[in-house]
Amino acid sequence: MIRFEQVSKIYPGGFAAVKNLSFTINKGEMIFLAGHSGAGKSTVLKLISGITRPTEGKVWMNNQNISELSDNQLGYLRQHIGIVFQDHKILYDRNVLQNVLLPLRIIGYDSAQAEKRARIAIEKVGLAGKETADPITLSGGEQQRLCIARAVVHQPSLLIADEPSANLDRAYALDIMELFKTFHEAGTTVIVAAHDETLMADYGHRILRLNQGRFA
Amino acid sequence: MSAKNYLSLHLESAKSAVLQFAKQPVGTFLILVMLSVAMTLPLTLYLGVQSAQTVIGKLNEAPQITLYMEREAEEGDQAAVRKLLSEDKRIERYDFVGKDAGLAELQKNMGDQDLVSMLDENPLPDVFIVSPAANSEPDTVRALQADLAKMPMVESAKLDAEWMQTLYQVNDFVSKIFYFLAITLSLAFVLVAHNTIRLQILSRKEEIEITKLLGAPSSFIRRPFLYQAAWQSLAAAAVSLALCAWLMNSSKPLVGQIFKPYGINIEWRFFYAWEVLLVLLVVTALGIAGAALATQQHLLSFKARKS
Repeated sequence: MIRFEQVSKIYPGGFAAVKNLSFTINKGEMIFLAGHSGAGKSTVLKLISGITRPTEGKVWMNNQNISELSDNQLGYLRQHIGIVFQDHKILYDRNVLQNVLLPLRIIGYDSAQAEKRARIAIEKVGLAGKETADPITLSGGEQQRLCIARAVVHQPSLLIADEPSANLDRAYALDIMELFKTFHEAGTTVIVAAHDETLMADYGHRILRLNQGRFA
Repeated sequence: MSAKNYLSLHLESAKSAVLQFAKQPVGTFLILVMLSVAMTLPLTLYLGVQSAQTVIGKLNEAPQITLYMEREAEEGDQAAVRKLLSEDKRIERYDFVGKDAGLAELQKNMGDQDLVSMLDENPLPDVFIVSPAANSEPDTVRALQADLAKMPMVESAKLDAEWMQTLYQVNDFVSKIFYFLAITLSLAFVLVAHNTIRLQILSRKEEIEITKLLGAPSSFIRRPFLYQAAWQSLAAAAVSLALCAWLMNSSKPLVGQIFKPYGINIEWRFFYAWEVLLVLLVVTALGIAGAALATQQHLLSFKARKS
């Protein structure tokens, strides 16, 4: 499903976040990206979702070179990816339901159908009853769940999460990991980047360890 | 995506654009005032030019050439001139005022004074009052005047050419100002709309970037802003039309007083229904053009940052 071919990413200013990485992630697989801050985990996720382009090498998704896609084609690609951002990227001028509805409106679901699906996703992540709540009133864990609900509401074939358990206590973090496991079991390809390897140990999935942009 | 869903997206964008205005009532009001004033000036000028056209049309018919015959001219000479005038295609009509009729009219204008008893003989010549064909250009009228002056037993042919020339020049000048203002203020309108939407984009930058990250195509991002510009422009055009009506009504008595002594009665008119529709369409199109420019620039800058 995803293939990195000798991918390097050097940001303006000369910082090499990823150096000559090659790997493959198969369809339906759940995979962890481990490493300390600055190891290159977020950059790998950005390269997969087309948020940034490689300086060298090629990133393939479903046999398509992401670097060659136009802006609108990238948009279409992202409509099939669910992204849980490290900084949540929640729209604070909209309530919980409106935030979760957004990916469905982008794809073009009609209002009634979209609302039905959004409510199911909200319930699935344990936020039932908070549909009309202002996101700013939610706790850190609840905001993370809102972000997950928005990422999975359109049933993407690929779910990527950047430090989804950061700033959460262990119990909350394990709850979040269980959610990802549920989505994986439903057939979604899941990629989770985290620095706490103890959270990954219990699941027995492949772990790609990064250190200074290379595999450790 | 089905047509129904596509339409619902448009409806949603149109609705959210209105809600954006409601969120910033003071800013929206100020922008509306600025856009309306910018449009009112050329629109009022257009109405002024259109209303003046009817007066100018009438004045165009008014210029007449007065043909003074030699005092020694006899009936045969008058007949010869009559024949020449009848044959000239540049002339719409002519009237003959004989020397006796002229004196009688003069006496009438003098009132109680007995003018006839004061004169040994009638000093007035026979006169032809010639009306050139309607819509004759000033050059044509002047050429006609020159030709009439050369007719047999004609002493002179007088024309108030200066007045007519001035009138044409004023009309030409006002028309030029109208076109200049229409073009420059239309451009200003596009720029104001562009800047307004640019500010809106900047204030909603985060929302746009998140939407883009979630896979929204350019059209999805652009749509609410285009609707915003469309509503804004429509409202500005409507306010401009109302301002025009108010301006016309309030200036009517004053302008009427100015021109009354000259016997000029300006027939004010407002926009016809098709003109109102055209103004609304053109202004909305200008607003959308400005917004399209602004959104295009933003999307390009997003793309540049990503690479």
